[in-house]
Amino acid sequence: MTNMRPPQKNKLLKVIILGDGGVGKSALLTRFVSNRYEENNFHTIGVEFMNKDITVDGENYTLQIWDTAGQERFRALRTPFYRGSDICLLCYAVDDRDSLRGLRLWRNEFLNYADVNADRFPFIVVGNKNDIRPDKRQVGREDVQQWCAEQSIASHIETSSKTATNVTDAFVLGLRQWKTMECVAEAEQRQNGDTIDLTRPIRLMQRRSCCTGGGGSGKPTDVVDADDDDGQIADAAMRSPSSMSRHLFGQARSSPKAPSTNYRL
Amino acid sequence: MCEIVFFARNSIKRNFRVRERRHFVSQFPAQRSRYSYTRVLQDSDGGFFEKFGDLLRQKSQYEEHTFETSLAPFRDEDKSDDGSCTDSGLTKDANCVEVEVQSLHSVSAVENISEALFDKGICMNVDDLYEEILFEINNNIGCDLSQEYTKTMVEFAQEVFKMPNSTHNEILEIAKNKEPPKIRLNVEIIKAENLLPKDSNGLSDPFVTLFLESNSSHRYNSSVKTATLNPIWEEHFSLPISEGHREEALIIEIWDFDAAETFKEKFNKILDVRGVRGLSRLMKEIAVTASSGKHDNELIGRTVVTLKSIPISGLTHWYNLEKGTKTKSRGSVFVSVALSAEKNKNVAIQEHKHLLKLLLIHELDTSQVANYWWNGKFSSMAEAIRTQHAVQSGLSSYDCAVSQWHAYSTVHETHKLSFILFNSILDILVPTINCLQNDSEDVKIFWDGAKRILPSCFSVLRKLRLKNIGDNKILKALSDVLDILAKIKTFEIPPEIDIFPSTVYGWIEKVNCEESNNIDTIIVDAINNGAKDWFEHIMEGSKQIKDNENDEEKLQYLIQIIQMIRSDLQRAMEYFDKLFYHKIRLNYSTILYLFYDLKLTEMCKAIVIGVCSNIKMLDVPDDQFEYLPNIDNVNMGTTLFEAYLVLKRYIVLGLSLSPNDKLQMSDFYQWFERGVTHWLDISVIKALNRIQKAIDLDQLHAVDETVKYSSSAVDTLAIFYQIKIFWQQLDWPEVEGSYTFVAKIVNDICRCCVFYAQRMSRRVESLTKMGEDGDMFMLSEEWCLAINNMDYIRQSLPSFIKELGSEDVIKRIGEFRSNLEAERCTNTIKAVIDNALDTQRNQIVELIEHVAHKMSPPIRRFLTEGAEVLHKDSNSMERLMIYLEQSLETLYKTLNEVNFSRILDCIWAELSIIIYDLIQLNLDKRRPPAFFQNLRETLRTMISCFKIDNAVTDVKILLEIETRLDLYALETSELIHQYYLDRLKYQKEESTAIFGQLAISAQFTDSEVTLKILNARNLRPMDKNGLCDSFVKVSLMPTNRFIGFTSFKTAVHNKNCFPLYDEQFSVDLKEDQRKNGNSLILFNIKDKDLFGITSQHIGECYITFADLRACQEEQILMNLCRPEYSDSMALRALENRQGDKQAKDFLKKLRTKSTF
Repeated sequence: MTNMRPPQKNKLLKVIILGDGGVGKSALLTRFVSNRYEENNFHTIGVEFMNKDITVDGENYTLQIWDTAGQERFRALRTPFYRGSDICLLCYAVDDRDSLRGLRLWRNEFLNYADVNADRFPFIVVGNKNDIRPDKRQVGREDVQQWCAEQSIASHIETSSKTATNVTDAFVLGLRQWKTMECVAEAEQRQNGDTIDLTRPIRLMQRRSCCTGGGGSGKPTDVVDADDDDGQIADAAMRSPSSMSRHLFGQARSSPKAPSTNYRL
Repeated sequence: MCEIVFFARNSIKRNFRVRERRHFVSQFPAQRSRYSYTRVLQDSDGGFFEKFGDLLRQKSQYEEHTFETSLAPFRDEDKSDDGSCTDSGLTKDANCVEVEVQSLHSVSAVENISEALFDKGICMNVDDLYEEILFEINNNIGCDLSQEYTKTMVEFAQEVFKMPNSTHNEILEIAKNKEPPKIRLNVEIIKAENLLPKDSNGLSDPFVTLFLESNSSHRYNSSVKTATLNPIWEEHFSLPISEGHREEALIIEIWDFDAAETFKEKFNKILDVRGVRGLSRLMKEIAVTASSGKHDNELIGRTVVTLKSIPISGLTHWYNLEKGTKTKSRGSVFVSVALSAEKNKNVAIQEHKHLLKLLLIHELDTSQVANYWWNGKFSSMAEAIRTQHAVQSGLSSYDCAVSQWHAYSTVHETHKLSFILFNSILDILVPTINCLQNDSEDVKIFWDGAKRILPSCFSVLRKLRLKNIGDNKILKALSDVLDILAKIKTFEIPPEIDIFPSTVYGWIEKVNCEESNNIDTIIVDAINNGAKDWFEHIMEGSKQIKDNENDEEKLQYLIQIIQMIRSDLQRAMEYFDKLFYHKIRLNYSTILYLFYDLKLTEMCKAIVIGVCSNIKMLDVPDDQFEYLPNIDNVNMGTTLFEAYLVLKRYIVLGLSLSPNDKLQMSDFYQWFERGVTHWLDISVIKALNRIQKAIDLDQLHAVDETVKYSSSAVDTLAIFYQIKIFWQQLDWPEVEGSYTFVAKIVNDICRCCVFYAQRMSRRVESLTKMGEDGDMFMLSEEWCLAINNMDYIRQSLPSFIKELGSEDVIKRIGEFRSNLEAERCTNTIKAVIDNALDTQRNQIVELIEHVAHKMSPPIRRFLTEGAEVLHKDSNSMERLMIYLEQSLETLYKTLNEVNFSRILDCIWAELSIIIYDLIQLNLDKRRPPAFFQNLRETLRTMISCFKIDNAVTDVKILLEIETRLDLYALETSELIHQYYLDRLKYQKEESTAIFGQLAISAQFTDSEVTLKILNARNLRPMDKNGLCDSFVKVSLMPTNRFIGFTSFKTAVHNKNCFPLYDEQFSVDLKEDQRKNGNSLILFNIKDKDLFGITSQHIGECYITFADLRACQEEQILMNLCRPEYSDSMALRALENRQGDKQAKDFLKKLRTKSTF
């Protein structure tokens, strides 16, 4: 039955991770996607790509995450990948003050190449390596918050890939931020009536949905829910291409001709 | 109907057997079918990809070729009027260079002539030489010349020496009367010191006059040394001594040459002198002026050397100069005198030199030989004079060669002679010179000559490009020049000689002043200088519009320059390298390349980076492809790419030429990074547009009979193939960039694939919107082809990506960095591809579902009609089967296996829904069991028709539907029995016996069955005392099968949870009753209550006849259970039979029972 597509459709979001070389972008990604931490030092070459399925507030998403090389010499190589991003994680390391200063350039580079509206774009400022000893810390929370305020970036989070602290939360934060902006955009468009410029894509309106399920691999889906909706827990098994019957008589075919609810097989 | 079903089944079976796995064989490398629209697509965007692919490469190669042939315009001056080089700017600039070259020549010519003049001052005693020659002609040896011939020789000599008749006759007379001298006085005037200044400038222009006291009218003059008080002459004279020489004395006078009017006039004339003729005339005039004594010369001083004072071994001595009685020191002269019987060799050589010069000047004068042409061959007359002199003076071939070296090199300064000449002279000179001391006279002559010849040799090296390579002369000249250089450079240059005066060698790069120049360094300098001139020349020549140059023009300029440099290098490799290496062990083209490397890097880097920074970002559509940007007016960067390819080829050439040098240019690709991303952006936009166009053009007919996809699939792959060619052309030299770009390309191609699938779906969906009539969807081949197209593209994707060579790139990353990085790269590429494959698969499945969904309404209609009126003579089943068969046949013939089974699944899914709906609908309508029987028959027909070989489909759902239909088709009593059978099933599955157990045994005979009720165990207590008063009631089911049978009961066993009944019953059975294996025996164990009115139910158990028969004579232990009103299908079916009394009663009874 692997020929058939999984019954569930995920929203597809493109996430891009930017920041100076060595602040731990790839480690963050690896922790998030595979829940691993690579002790060996390595450089990202150009760009790296991974899928991750995640369920947030009862909705299923597939995050297509592009990790980039921070070194300056990769500049021309990584910028083509910025376009079409939905969420941007700006990473610095809490033990490196320069990396925070660098974020302004990263943000500008991103805005320049991704061609998006700065005010309407979900940037998340991620402070990596918060597992370091306090005496090594160079960036205080206040510094960052001040910086974020200057750049009018709402979301800031400190993470540690090593200790797996806040890693998923960082991505979820981005996702929720995205959703908020989506709603704002939608509302505005509705207000403006039907005079929508059809030559330009209405990026935030219609999301493509996908059912890739992380490249068809059996990777687990993270489930993150708002505090108290226990009834909505989406179980990963439901997404697995289990049976045609569920597809047929389950939720997918909820057209009028479908059987009444008490029919179970 | 049966017939039709049979037909359908057979035909599909047949099809299954003949099925071939022929489509979707990856026929990849862009096979261009005649049905494909490749050409149209190319035209649609001006052949963008083709430009980036083969065409561009061909173009660059073609241009290299044309440049090669158009190198000719850079030519020598004497060919500048050659009409063949009409190639616009180049010719014009070639002329510019020529002018420059000429002016260089003329400057040096003036210098040379003035220098030559003083040297040629020796010729002042031309009369003596003339006399000598005439004397030799008269007394010639070796061959018998007739008187007449002698006469012509004399005339020729007069012509050569340009003797006026009077002088000629006078000298001729002397020569005729001259006795062959017995003794000669050989004098060498070496130098003088501290001469008295005679001129206003405090210096003098001294020359020496010597004569014998007895013959003061015959004076011998040296050359004039201008503006010096310490002149060096080193000139030889041979004076014949007549009889009675013992009283003879040699008078040596040093004069200040001050032919104020005459000389200055004449000297000024020299500046205007052009050509040999004028020069020789002038020299003669000066000589005449000097020797005839008609001048204003002033005597500086004199000395007298008496012959008596000269020993036989000779004498070299300083003599003080005197004048009259004046006591003031007038300087001294250093003289070497010796007596000999014959002419001194030095004198002879000196004479020979002069003679050669005169003869050559005459030769050149009369025969109008071109520059670089004369190779040592005199006219016969001149040759006769020359040999006479050589032989009569006793000169060896080496002596002659020394004279020639001197004489010819002197003439060479004003009129270029053939290098072959010098080369052959060197052949004679070198062995002897090799053995001489550095300070010997001949070595000095050798270097003087070399100094005069070398500039022209280097000039050949510098001006190699002036000649048309088709001209063999240049190669010959180069060969000779290199021979000359090779021979000269075997000697160490004497330190006292400034052989490379900066006035002549102004072009030498003054980079390393510390290092002294030698032949080798000057050769390299000459080569570089030539390259520099050429480079500057083409830079200027190609730069047509200097102001307002746009990027395109800059790049064109760059390409042109590189192509020309390349042609130059190719010419160097092809024609010159071998010579350079053979002759002087020099890698000519490598030197050139290294020179160009610096210059080009400087130029190209600035241009390319400038152009790249001007590139505007493109509006690349994101993954949703809501719109396709129009980039018709965007600069395609084709020229930039061409420049890239040209540079790339150029660097390859460099690597082969100088593999060990670090080339400046080798990082050239970095300048292009921004350009590459631009190209990739353009390619993706162009590719998307082409795909859209390909789909629009696609008629959805199979490309040909062997494949099952249509033109757009072929076209799309052709587009990918073009991207691949671009990538191969790019061939990015650095591995990390290479990986990133390939990742981008993979991502882009994946996007294109997804886009294709998306647009293909839309296209085929729009197809039916137009053609759809009513609810009768007819499946056409177009749908199948659309599915196949999508699948074809999808399946081609991985192998195509493989062709991009990403694996190889990643492998190199592993070597360059580490396996960890390589692994991450691999995963990235894989994730991107997998995403695309998944998305495409989903799109395919979506389309397939869409098709199945479209087929649903007609199927539903046929089925509904069919079930409704099945028992009547209706053809709706027939029509359904025809419809299905037609559709399936189309699908089967066109789709591949995977998609065929997918669509079967989907149709089944639709069918299941339809049938399920039908069941539900008709249950509501309270259809009789017969209706469901019909429906079940229909279903079975279809199953057998569809599912024959296809076991993969979901059987479970069919079984469920079938079971359901089975149930609904049952009569009520059967349905009730089904309920009991379900109970039995449940009883068997129950592992714990919470109500207790019953043990029985049974025996069948031919006419009856005997049942033994043995005992019960562990009965659930029903009474307050914790015990029960039980009995067993036995019934046979279904009741309608055993009409007349009444149930029987055992005795009651009071207060016992383990009652031992031990009773036996026999039941008479007819054969048909006995054989029916699913007949049931129901054992009801009840608790008899005190009043005996109602019996409480303890539990019940069932057994089928079949089971009973299988366990004859054995004790059978059964778990007790209680009837429940459970959610069973049989019960639900019964519930649906609201109008059926039997069903109603049964349900009512069951409900009561289960409420206990």
